[in-house]
Amino acid sequence: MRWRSPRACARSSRASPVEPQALEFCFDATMRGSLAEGARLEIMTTPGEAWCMPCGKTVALARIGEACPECGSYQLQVSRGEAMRVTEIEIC
Amino acid sequence: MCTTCGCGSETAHVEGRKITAGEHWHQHADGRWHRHHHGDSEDGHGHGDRRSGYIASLLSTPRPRHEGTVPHVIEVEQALLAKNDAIATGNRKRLAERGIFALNLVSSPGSGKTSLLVRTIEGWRSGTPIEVIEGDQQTSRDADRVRAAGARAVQINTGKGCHLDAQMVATALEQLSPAEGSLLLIENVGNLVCPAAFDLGEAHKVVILSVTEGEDKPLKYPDMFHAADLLVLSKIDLLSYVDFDPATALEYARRVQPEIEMIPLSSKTGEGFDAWLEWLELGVQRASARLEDTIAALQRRIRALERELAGRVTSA
Repeated sequence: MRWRSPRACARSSRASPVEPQALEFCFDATMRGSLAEGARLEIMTTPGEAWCMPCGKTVALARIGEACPECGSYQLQVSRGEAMRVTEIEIC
Repeated sequence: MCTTCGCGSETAHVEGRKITAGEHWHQHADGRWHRHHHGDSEDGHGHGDRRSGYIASLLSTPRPRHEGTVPHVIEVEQALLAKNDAIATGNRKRLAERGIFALNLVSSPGSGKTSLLVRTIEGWRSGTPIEVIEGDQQTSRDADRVRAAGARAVQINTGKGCHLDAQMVATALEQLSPAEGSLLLIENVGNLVCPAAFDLGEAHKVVILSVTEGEDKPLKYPDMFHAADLLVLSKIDLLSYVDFDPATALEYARRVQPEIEMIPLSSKTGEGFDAWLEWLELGVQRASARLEDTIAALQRRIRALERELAGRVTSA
């Protein structure tokens, strides 16, 4: 009994401290010799978001340390995209 | 496994003993023994199975279907570091129950973390004990320095790992058993990248930046400064020899963490230590006060329940 091309999906943004390339590299190595050998890992990159205090609203955040795209302030609280999440796994 | 650089922590040791918490041995009906982690599912017992890590444990959870069946999608929606975060939450609860103020000290190697600890222990005038968890890839040199300064310490060797994780700290806490109301200083592995992602259950991450490193480090390593609540600027006795502007360093740190505070100090001359010790003392007092509030609330609840019980006994 084997899984046929199973798939795992994760969602991340550039505001997250997780490095997708390192994860992909280790995913292949970890799956080798297991039931899930040959599984594909799909990583979806979503935009990060932050609350801009001077603007008083949510703005897009490309990465931590970048200014508000609207007012240029760094008074930002990251509200979305700080963690990488496993969204779903698919098995056959 | 580190989600940032991919290094492993399978070789980690606390005081020379391999970390085996969360793992247990059991015997099958045929008399064979084997061990597995509590997180493993019954299906995924995996004798001789080389799977490891969080995603692998997710993949082991459902029973695989036979070939020919349609693909089957299972929604997971869990943070990649959910396992670490759950253990960190447990650590935080244990620390709060004992009114312990815990800090996670992070920096690049050589910024003066251990010297800061030694001078802090020597200068600590409060009656509450200081305990230390030391994280290094190898050797117990730092724990030895800390013990020589007069504090109890446990050394974690991360082996091939580049950071401390919540399980290592949970194991170290069992061994250290810190005193009620104490100050617990966790010195992370010298690394300005990976420790940022791992919650250990601390009250605050404190990032140490030495003036010899350059004031633009917060911009070059934003994740770490973003995760910290306090920036300790160390080695300020060398300020006259280097081109380092503390105001610029703080401005850069606030670009990635607008709320961050800075305490400049020198472990060599002791300059700035009054502010640092005062900040620590305040944290210790707050942790103890929270514990007293919790105890008072529980005692009120006990009295209320006793009254309720007495009422029922009388009416019955």
